[in-house]
Amino acid sequence: MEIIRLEGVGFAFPGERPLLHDVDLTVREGEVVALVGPTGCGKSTLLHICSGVIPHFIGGELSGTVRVLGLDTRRASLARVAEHLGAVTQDPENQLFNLIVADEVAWGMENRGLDRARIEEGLSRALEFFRIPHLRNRITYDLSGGEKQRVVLAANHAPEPRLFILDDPTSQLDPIGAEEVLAGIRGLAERGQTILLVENRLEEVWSLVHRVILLDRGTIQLDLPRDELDRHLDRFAEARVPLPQTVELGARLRRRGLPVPPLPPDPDRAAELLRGVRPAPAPPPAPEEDRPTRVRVEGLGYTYPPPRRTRALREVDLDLPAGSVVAVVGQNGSGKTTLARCLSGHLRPGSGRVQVDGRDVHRMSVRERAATVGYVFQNPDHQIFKDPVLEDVLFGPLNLGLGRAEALERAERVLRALDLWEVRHLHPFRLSKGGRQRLAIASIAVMQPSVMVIDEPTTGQDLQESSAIMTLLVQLAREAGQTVVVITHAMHLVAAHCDLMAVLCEGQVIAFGRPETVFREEALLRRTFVKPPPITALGNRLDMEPRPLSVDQAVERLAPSRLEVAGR
Amino acid sequence: MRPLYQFSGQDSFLHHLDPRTKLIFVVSYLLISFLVPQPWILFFLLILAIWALAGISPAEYYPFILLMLPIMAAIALVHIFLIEGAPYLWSTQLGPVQVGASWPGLRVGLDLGFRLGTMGLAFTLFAMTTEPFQWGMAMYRWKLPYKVAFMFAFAIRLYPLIQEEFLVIQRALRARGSGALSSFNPLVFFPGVVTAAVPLGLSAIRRSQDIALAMELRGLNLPEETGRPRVLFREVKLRPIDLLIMAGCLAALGALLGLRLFTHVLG
Repeated sequence: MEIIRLEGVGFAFPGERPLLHDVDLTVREGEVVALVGPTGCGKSTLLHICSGVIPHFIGGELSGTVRVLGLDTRRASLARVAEHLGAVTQDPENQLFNLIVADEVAWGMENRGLDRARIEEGLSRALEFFRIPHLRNRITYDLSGGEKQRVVLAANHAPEPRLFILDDPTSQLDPIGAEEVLAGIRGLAERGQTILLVENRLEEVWSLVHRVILLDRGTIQLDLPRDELDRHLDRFAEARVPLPQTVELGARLRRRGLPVPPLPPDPDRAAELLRGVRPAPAPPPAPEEDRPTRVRVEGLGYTYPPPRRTRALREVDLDLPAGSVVAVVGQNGSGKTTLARCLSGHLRPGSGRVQVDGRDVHRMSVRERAATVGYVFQNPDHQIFKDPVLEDVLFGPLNLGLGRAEALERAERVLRALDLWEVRHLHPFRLSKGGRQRLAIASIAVMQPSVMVIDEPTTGQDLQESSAIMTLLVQLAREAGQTVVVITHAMHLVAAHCDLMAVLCEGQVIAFGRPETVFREEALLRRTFVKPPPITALGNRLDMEPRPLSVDQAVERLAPSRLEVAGR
Repeated sequence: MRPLYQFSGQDSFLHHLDPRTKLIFVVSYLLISFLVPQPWILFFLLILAIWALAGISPAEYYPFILLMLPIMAAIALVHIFLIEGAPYLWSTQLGPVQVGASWPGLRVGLDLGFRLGTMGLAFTLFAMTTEPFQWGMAMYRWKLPYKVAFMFAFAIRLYPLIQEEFLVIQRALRARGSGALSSFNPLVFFPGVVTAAVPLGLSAIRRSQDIALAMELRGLNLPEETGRPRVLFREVKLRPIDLLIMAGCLAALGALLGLRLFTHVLG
């Protein structure tokens, strides 16, 4: 039975270029369909059309035929279309409107007029299904991101919808939170639930997805069974959509004429299929540059005041060199943000100190500190104070007491480097999320601090945008000699762009060094739910020396070798 | 530390009382504070009550007390100089004008300051021990339309999030070299508030749009659409202890009012 049927669908905001055109899509009962594509390709718009949000909540010109659960979404009201579907979006905070978990999960059933006994039954069932019965009486804003998103899933699941529409539900979660949510989604798929989802980390949903749809330039480019994806590497590369690293590796090795079977995303299973491989010897590593220490952290400790009383940092010692990009990784609650806030002087440590070029950051005035340590917050929208873009970038230097002419000169240089000069007269909120993130970095970089601390610079961005931001940070570090500290969960970016990484667990640094070295310690990293990128994990299993940090490196090392492939 | 006025989520006698009971208690307490001659006793009594009956120590809301203290002090200070009457704590002649700090002025000022503090504390007690949705649903039981009651409760739920966002924006401003929001100078502080209002307002608008959509998708309008009445899963009803406390509050208020009238007539 067809749950979703779209024929010749297009959508445009009045007077603007179409966001979608000529979309034909069918999703049958029990299917799990993943929608992938670069940022801005229309994925969320397509999901809004399938859930009836367009045209009922978001206006515009919708063309073609849209039938969802047998209803023509134009004629049926949004309430009617939504009655039998569950919709989950990226940010759980904006989908929780009750205070107590039980009330949140029961709310949809209350609206459907179910009697109390059925609500109680549905509530218990949904909490059990997502393994959160222990959260039943908890306050929603005290939960972790993963717990919140599971509550949202449970709340949508409780009224037993026939269709789930999931818009990148793990993109704003830490690794353990994402894993918890994905486990729930896997459970739904195993039960035969029909699911249409946007999920940028295909490797995480690989086992449950039946079909993958590639959306690019406003229309569907590919609609394929999962196992055929690796035959279309070029098409995915063109759309800047990454395939799971080991899947891509297998496809690229086959292209080079090696007898490699399709590799699964799981590095353990991929390594089994490549057993007996003898990688080519690696070129000798480049000599390490001797860089002077810029940031010295000594015996740093911090305990939050009551009622929280969490001991967030314990005796942290770190030396961060000038001109390098350093990643700080670890599970939520491991102390990353507390460390970043101590580094930037926004939090006074309980013990120890942070010195930049020999000066204690906590003895500096607000202006001195801003000129010495820049802090870019996770949400760029919290840092936009002026209109247009140029004035927002000038805001910091003018606060530091610079003359307008000098500030303008600096701003032009930074805006050009960040590809924002052409949009300098626009209101910042007219930029894309990636553009606003770059603006946040520009507004700090323009103050030319010796150290920049950046909290999750790539959240919610596609591969190309993430890589562009990281490349820029590397450039700032190399050219201006800045120390750039990046807090991130994106291990593939750490592998590809960072010189050093510090791994935090329960407020302590449990590993510090080059990514190639630290990613070998998988058992240690598991303590804080950090996993090396799959390609590096594969290198660990195949004992490749040095470990590959990207698919390119792995291909170069494996392609010339003679492979003895399992099962052949 | 929790944001001010955020529900504390503990399990205590005060948390279990019906919101309507607490509302009547708070209103009665405020009126009583205007009827008794020593309001400072009520102020400290309330701190003790919040600690003993709700398990919330002053450490959890000390920023509120810190915020109130200068306001209370300012009120007292103004009255010291505004109200004349012996005995004087200090006085001087400035040209033709006699300036003095009077003891009666200090007393009136302190009384007013403590009354104001008691009002703030009483609201703190209510907010920290009352789950907003219980409050909203209690109002629904008292015939307020469901959507109005729900949105009212939701607005209270949203308040701590906005407060947290404000703190982030304050840090973001400092990161750009502006300490305006930490300044005690109103000429610096208020322009800082205007600057912070841009991200705060836009974020609130964006958030409210997302939340409104999520509510629609979870069936906010289904009862009107289908004609099936909404069912409240959680029972909100008054228990005997609630009725007893309400009656006690009203009786105490009535007795004090009566006493005041009686003494006024006699006087």
